[in-house]
Amino acid sequence: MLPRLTVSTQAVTNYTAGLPENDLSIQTTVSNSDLSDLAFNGVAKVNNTHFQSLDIFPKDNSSEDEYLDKFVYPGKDLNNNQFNDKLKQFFILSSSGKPIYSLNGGDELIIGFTGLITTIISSFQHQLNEDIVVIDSGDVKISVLNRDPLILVSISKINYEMSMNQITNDYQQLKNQLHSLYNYLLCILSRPTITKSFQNRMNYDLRKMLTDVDFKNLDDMAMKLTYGLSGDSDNDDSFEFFLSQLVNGFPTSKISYTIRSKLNSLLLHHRIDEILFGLLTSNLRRIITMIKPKVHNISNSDIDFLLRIIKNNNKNIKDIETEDLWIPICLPEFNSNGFVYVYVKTFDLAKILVIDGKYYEDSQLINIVLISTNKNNFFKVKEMANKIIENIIQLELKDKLYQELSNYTINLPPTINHFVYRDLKHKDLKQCLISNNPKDCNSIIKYVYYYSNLYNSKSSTIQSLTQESGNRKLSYIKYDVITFSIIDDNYEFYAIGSGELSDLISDGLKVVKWIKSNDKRFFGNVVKFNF
Amino acid sequence: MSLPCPSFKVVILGDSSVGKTSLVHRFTTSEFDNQLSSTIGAAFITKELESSDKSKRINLEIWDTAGQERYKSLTPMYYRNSKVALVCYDLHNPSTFDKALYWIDQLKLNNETNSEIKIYLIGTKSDLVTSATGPPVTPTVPGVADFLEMNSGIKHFHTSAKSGEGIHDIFQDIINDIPPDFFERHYESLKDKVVLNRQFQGKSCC
Repeated sequence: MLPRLTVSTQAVTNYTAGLPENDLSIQTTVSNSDLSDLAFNGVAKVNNTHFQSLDIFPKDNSSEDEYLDKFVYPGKDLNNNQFNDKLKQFFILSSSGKPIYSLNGGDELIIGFTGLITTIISSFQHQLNEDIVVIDSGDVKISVLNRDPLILVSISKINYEMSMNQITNDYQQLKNQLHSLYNYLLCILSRPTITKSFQNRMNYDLRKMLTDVDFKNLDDMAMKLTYGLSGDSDNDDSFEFFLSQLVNGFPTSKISYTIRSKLNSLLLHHRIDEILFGLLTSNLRRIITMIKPKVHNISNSDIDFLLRIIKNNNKNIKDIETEDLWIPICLPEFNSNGFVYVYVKTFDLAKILVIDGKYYEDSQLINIVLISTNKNNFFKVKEMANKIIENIIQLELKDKLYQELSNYTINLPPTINHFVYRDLKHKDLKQCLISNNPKDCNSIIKYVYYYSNLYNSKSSTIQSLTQESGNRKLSYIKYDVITFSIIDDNYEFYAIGSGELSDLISDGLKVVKWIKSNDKRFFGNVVKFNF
Repeated sequence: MSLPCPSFKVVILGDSSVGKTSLVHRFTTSEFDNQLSSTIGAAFITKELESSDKSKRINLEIWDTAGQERYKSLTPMYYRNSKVALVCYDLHNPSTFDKALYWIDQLKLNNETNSEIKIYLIGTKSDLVTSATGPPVTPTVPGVADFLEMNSGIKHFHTSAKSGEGIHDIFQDIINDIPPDFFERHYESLKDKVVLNRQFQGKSCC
């Protein structure tokens, strides 16, 4: 018998765990005009706390590196104790209990778990005719996503993952993580392939279809979605990935409206019939422009997976500019039943710019990503890409484009350390603007902790029927830093800062105002065509 | 007058992890990376190649395909219009030879309906063999010798992307094997185009 087993989609959250009760104030709703009048006091200005001194994870006296190795970083070759030390587990198994993937440990270690999990799931299905979602045993949360013939499971002992999202009354973060891993499998295999594999034999080994790259990608995603850390010590964009998944917005780039429209019209002009979506991205990380049919949409998560898969593939290749890639991929939220064919060409903007007879030193990679419905038309698509590149080479503003892409720095008011702004106005693509990202593990873990708590604490926006602009909503949580969010109908703004809350809010609003006045440079970079 | 040299398509086939990408990278960059991970889909790579006697030049267009089963349905697109197929197997993993035979059968079926593709059988990772005593021994994969005897048109190479062994030889063999009329036809058609262009320009010039 499992002690204290409760199925809790409605369980009371243990939200304040680890936070001093009197320091915690959340969810203050204020109307538009009141924001500047708010006054709060008594805030510590220290901002160099180490994550180990916060109550994010269990206490342990080891150094940062030892700590991360022991509790956080995945290991496949572990003994039972080492396995149990890990704060987060992910498993993917078949409905019959056959292991497919595990973040930690080998088959022998996890086989006990998988047996137990399938038993619990099937007993709930048989007796209550329901899918189990979360098993809550206080300090540990087990989440399950049942997608017959696959089962995805996570086990978390992490403080910031214990709290329920207060708008959705759900363990949103844990759920999203499992959905992401599942979508990854759909991306590379598509739903029919998975279903068919198990049709004849319930104990089919899906690992036969997966490669080393897939397992690496799953590890990488599991780590980024949980800790904001990468699976392979390259934390370059790992926190950005975490945050953009949390707020569900794709990171944007700052490019002047003229250049953006120029590039948009280039894509549109050269588009051939079978191209469904076309993107220009900077380093497969930020979307410069995108074209899409009026009648079809591509979701953030689909774009995310697509670019991530290409990016991890490109890591392999030294001379990426000499290669054209042709990748069959399933976009699960667009159509989980079939494949599209993705053409990718990368070129270095620095190599086509000559200033005073010299090339720029720092490369600035631009990727042309064209999504085709026809698997046999590689050469026609390649021709289209070549024409686009030729046109970019002739572009008078290419020098400015280079400057804009390489100088992606956002100046912050002194009170604000970090922010993410999610645009809600432009409906074609959910995008967000993230200020410069922390790269060291300590800051990343702290920020992940702060933002998770802040995000889960927000309550729903109150629709105003009388006021045109609607109400703004403010939430904040005080630690040694202050995290706060300002939300209205057009945007969500989350930030970490230190100082007086009233100063923070007025500085936050200044940032918002600045972003709004630059709206055309950040957002609305999607052009629609008749398909 | 220097005219663009003719394009020449080569497709690389074989089971996953036999070293197709390593072979291509060795050829294009002269480097070797032990840590390469599986290719997804396929990569299309172009590289100019000159024969050792400098009499011929071609623009090689290489399809580096993924060996994984799940990408199988795409492969016909890659070998369509290819002139040469390099079918790879791992000298240390006899089961990969079965997969090579599968691809050779597929190519032969294709040859019946389409233009002829020249097939090369490539054994990879020859550097991995070292005998405890004496000089390195090249392993023999069961069935290869018999197969070659029965298919005399198929050339066989031992290669190592790590040491570079055999890789230069394959591509030199490919270029040396191209009949002269392939080049003649190419340059003839280019000349026609140039003449046409001149006529066109002559008319439109103001």
